[in-house]
Amino acid sequence: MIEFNKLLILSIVAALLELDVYYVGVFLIAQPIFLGAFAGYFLGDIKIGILLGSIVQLIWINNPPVGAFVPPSSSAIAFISTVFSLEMIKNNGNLNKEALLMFCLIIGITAGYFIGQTDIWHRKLNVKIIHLFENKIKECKEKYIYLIQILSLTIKFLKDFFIFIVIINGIFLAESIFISLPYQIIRGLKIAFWIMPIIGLAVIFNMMGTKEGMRLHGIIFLLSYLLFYLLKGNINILFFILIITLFGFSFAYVLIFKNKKATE
Amino acid sequence: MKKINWLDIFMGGFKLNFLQSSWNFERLQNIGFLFSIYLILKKIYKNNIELLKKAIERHIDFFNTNIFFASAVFGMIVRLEEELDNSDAHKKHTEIESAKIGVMGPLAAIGDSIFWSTIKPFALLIGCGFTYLMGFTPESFFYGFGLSVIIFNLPRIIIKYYLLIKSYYDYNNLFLLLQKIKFQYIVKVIKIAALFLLGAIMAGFFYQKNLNLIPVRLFDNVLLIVIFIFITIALKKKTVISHIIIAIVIFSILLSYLIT
Repeated sequence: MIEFNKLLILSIVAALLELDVYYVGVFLIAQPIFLGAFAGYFLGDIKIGILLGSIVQLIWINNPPVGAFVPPSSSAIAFISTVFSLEMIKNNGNLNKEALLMFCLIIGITAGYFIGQTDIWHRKLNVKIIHLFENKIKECKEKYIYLIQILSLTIKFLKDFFIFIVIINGIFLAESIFISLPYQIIRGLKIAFWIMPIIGLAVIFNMMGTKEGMRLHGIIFLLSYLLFYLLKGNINILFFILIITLFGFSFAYVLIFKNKKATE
Repeated sequence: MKKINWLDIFMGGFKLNFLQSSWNFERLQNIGFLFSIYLILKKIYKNNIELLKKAIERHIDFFNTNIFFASAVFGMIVRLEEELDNSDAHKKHTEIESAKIGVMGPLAAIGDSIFWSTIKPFALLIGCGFTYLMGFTPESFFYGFGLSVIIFNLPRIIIKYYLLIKSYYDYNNLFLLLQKIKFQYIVKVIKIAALFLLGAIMAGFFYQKNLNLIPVRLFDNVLLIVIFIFITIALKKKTVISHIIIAIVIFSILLSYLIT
């Protein structure tokens, strides 16, 4: 069982960071990769947090908070799956790690969709709150504007905080379910976890797909694979990514602006 | 006559960070916008409570645009509130209302396609690229996430405050400026560069990834490419992510039973 003070700090920080997803600022600090890493660091294994955070990050990258669209909370998915995974590993070290991560990811996804649904309820509640104070605002009572803003943020924070507390308390239940799963399902979950990062890569490919870009993507993929193969993976990744990015930008710039001049 | 100064504009722009704090399904970002502009309205109409009430009435109405491009609407509206003649309150009300409605939509479209569909995924792709290739280590997180935050926030801050100043001091030329900047080309360049990067990240990741289902690396890599193509086709057909995940879990479990 997770210690109460740890649970409290984790839930407070996660609920506060959740505000950055949509409600305040949107500085990108509440992204799944960060929340996963934070939970991992706090619970003693940052690597698992980063792993789960990056997988979730790419899978739900195409969920912009635009207009009336309320996506599932990807930060909550990363946060909850990391906390569940690390606590379950701590309680029972003999569990199959990959299968366990997939199992916790499924729990996280369910929680993330639930938080998304509660965000819809919250926005409906905001309509009622605004109606309640609208006349006061129209009479130039400034404090009611602040009141609505503070009330909305407080509701969002408390809602997420309590959801995190309640869900995280279900770790023991998740653990007993996982232990009782047959070997074939455990192995199936392990295979599914192996496939998960590919979904994220496919999401980005689908999102960024332009006619010119898709062809180039194939060529760069093959060339880079050859490079990794020939150098047996001994590549300075920082240098490699920076070079590829610069090369990509220069190439895209020439390609697009050459076409533009041709059409003009 | 100038009634507000640059600090008021800057503070209003800063308060736009709370534009979506009380987002609602009826009038979307209305309270957030009113929250940002209220102190400026108070300064502009300090001697006339009736005009202030009228101004509040128009800004408590529907408001929706991209949160980073909202500064352009904000600057322009502040300028109009300050500049337009107060003698005909109805005319002023109509003019500001139509100006606001006229700019919100196009700015939302430009802002959303630039930030949510291009810069944000690109920034996070770099971040995740580091973690995928460097083996999910704290160093990879430090480089990757740090770069993501910088790549996303730098243009965001520059665009936001540039538009804020430009729309207040030179609002007549705002649309001319927006037309001059070829946003569609910028988006295309970033998208092609992102696919370049994705190709390299995928190659490195596939090279490292080994399921050992059958202990032949090439088999693993071919299988990964086939899965990648299947998921891409499913996404092209607008399949929901959660359905894809459920299908993969079911497929994997069935595969596991078949291998036994």
